Amino acid sequence: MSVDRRSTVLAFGAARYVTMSLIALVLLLPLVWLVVSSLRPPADIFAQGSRLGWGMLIPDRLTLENYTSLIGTGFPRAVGNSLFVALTTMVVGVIINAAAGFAFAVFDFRFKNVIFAFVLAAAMMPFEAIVIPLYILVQSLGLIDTYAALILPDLANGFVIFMFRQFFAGLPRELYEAARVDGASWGHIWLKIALPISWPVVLTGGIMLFMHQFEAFFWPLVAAPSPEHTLVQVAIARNISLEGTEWGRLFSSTTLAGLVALVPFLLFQKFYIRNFVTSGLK
Amino acid sequence: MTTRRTVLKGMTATGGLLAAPQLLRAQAKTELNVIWVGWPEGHITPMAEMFMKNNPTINLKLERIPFNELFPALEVRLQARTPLPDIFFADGPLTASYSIRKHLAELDGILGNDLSRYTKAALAQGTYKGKLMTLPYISSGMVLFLNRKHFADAGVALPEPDVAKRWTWEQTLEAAKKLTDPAKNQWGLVFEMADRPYQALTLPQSKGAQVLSEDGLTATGYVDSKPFIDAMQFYADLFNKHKVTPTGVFDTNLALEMFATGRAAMYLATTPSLASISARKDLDWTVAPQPYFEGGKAVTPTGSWHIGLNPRTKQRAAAETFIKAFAQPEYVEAQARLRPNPPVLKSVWDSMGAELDTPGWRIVRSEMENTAMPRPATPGWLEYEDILRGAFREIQGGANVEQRLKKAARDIDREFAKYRG
Amino acid sequence: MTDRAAAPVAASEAPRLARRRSADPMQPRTLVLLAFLLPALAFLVLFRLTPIVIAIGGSLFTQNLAGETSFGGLTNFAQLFGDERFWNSLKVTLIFNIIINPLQIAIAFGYALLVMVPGRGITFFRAAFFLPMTLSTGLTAVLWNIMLDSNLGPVNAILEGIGIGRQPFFLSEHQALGTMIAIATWKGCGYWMIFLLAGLYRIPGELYEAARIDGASRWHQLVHITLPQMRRPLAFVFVADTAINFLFFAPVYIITKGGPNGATDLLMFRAYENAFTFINWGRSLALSTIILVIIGVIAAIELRLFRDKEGAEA
Repeated sequence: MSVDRRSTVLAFGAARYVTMSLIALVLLLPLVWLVVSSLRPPADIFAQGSRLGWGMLIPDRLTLENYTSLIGTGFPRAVGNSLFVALTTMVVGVIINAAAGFAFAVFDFRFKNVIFAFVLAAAMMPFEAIVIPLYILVQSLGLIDTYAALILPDLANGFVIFMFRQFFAGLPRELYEAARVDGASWGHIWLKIALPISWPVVLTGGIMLFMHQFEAFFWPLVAAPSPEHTLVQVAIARNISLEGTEWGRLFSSTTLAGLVALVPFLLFQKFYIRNFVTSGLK
Repeated sequence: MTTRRTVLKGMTATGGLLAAPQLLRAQAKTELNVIWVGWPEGHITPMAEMFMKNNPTINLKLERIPFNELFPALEVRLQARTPLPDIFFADGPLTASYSIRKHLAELDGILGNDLSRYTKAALAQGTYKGKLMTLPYISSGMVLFLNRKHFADAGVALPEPDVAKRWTWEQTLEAAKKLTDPAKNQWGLVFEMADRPYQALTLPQSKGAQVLSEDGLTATGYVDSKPFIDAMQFYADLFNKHKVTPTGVFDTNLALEMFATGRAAMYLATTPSLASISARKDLDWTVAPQPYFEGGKAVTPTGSWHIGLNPRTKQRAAAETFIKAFAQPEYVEAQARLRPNPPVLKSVWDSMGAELDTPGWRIVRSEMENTAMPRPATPGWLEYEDILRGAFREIQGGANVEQRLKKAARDIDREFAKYRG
Repeated sequence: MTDRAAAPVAASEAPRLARRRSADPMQPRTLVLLAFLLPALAFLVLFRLTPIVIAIGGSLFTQNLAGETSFGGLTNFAQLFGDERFWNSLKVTLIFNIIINPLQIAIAFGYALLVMVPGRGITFFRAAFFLPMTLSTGLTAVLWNIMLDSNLGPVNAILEGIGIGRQPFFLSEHQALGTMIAIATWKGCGYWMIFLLAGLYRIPGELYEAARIDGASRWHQLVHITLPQMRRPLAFVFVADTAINFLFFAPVYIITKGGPNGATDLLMFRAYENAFTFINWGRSLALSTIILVIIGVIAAIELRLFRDKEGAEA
């Protein structure tokens, strides 16, 4: 490798890290402010806001009061509820949406385009427009204020199906043909060939479903608002009120919920590596 | 699992005689589904426990809906027209809206005729077409909070905490000019609800404006009347011409922080601020009554949360028990002790005694009896409020007052068409 | 891509396949097809299609107060089209989307390219890019409303401190929509990054090796290898991002209420306001239907654009 070439590579790497650092700074500063504010006594949160200075980011007085006081509230239970709902949706949802996505990508069948258009429309319809009919429906099924009311309507997701279709359609078709010729069943092909070489895609679908449920707010509010079934965003929003928002707890609960929501991504991003099976094939 | 089950079995065996009746009673309990506005748990749970202790056969299932989403969430639940919730909290001015859409059962027959114990304004707010439709539960009132240090520094004499010596708006403006110091990010006057008709309507009302037609169905000729425009011009000038009030403070909690962190000398706000400002130990403050326009009359806002009974409830008897209980002075008093809002029953003002005998509460008590004006009774309150909020925001931002109010009046009347039909 | 014929079966293999079933081996039996499709479709039909049909049907009915409906045909639509506020909302919605969709996707693509290659601290940067996504849209609005507050928020203090001066942000007719776009972009790009990352890892490494041997520049590789290979993931990201941004409204509801002077009056906010504030479900559903149609048309165009190239490539 010539000296020239090596210095280009080095310069490129340095530029990459500088760019990433600048972006991270812009993205994280508001969150740092949020976390720092969550560590201040409530009276101090807005005391420093209007003048530039270190007081903005370094608290005069530190307290964990905003965190410890969450213990006695419904917040821990709400985090548990949200995790249960989001993880269940993720596991079951990935299976059924990946299966449907596979069918749209690989099979030919009658009315395929019409059915697929409906799948997309299901994801594109403003939720607020269908919330009352959906509420009546879920109520008539006797599911109001149950975990099922929170999970079942969001298991199938048009966007997740669409994403799986796009990625499965991108796999070389010879892969399936070869397996079919060898007599493999479609179930086998899907489970043992398509899914294993699509780990990043499967995990991405999982993150989609997880985030969708972890951020859910309006539906959980109307469908299951009792303390036993309260989800995390509803619990956080209860700190906001016309007269007397609990800023400290609002910030501390937001911080904790954000950290919990980050965990699946942190675990899954390790699997974002180039897939050798596909690279070997083309 | 097995060990726990054996233990439980043993317990039932030994305490069988005690446990069995309790079990039976638990099964016989009626469950009432109550949608409560999302106050802190500490303001609600003790009230629910008090009720369940007094009514052991009824179990309350509470849903605390955050304030910002209470209307949309209730809308979904009520428009679905199901038996649940049995009981729900309604903002007072929505009484007419819910009544006309048949989401409320009449309460007259439940409470009997002794309604004179309620304050006049609270009763008016819960009444639609001569019938009591929502039970007044808590009320609201406003006082002017003053930062003593700012007044001393600017050499301005403080107004007195005496309704007889109420400042005029003109006096308030003159003081605010002296109290404003842009270099220190210090403002003369901050409104808690700068864009909400709840607070802003009292300005035109003080100039004698009627803010909506008698039947509550026409805004043109009222929202754009001369006294309304004049009052809102004065309000607009606070922001734009005199620059004594900051624009864009629409979040009530940020408005509070403006006063609590010493950025505002005067703060016009509701009674919950009496508690939140008391909690700020470094602040040296006092109160005065809300100003009025010279030559006009003193008007203060009022009205707050009422309780509604779903006419489709399957638990009518239990729901009526709930309504009757929460009309009792001991419930109203217990709630007033948990939450700094004015009680709706006259007797509670006396029974609470010392607690309400502070300068701030003395002003509020007098206002409740003399100057408090409920928001206009109209089935279209939500539309009226929303459209006026937009207008007030833009008037703050420098829009032409008369044109903007005329547009608002037209927009309101267009949305009201459905109620006239 | 979908209507491409299955590979012809070689004659020598025909008998073995015929034993299993006579039809094309690439075509599943109905039962197999149903096993793949039905679980998801059944849920979608029950929990989405049924309410959608009721909702779109509802847009044809006029408003009622006591819960009774009367058929109004297209009156709700006619009223909307005669309303200047509707046309302003449509304009604002289109401007918002024309800017935010390419912007978010370009930035997300940039993020994905930056964090794709593992290296020191890469987990930190990936997490940093994704982290704003962990806040719900509503909380993002609450947070930024405070951050940008002219009296209490730190952003204006910083701008003043470095000499740029205080900005009105949501209070200005000219800045409000741009500020909305900025906070939505702050939050959303990390999300779209993950799909593009998954797509980037699908690209066979040999393509790049071959290009490097040919001495192709990084730019050349990006345009001639990466972009063509990313068509399918990009098609998904474009369609999904478009849909999500057309449905964006929570920060408008929380912060600006459509103002100042209609500057942030997005159609979706109007649909929400008409349903829950104006108690006018007919009009709200008409607005929702219009939004759905617009998204549908744009999605079809986007898919068509990506499909044509795919056809040429394949």
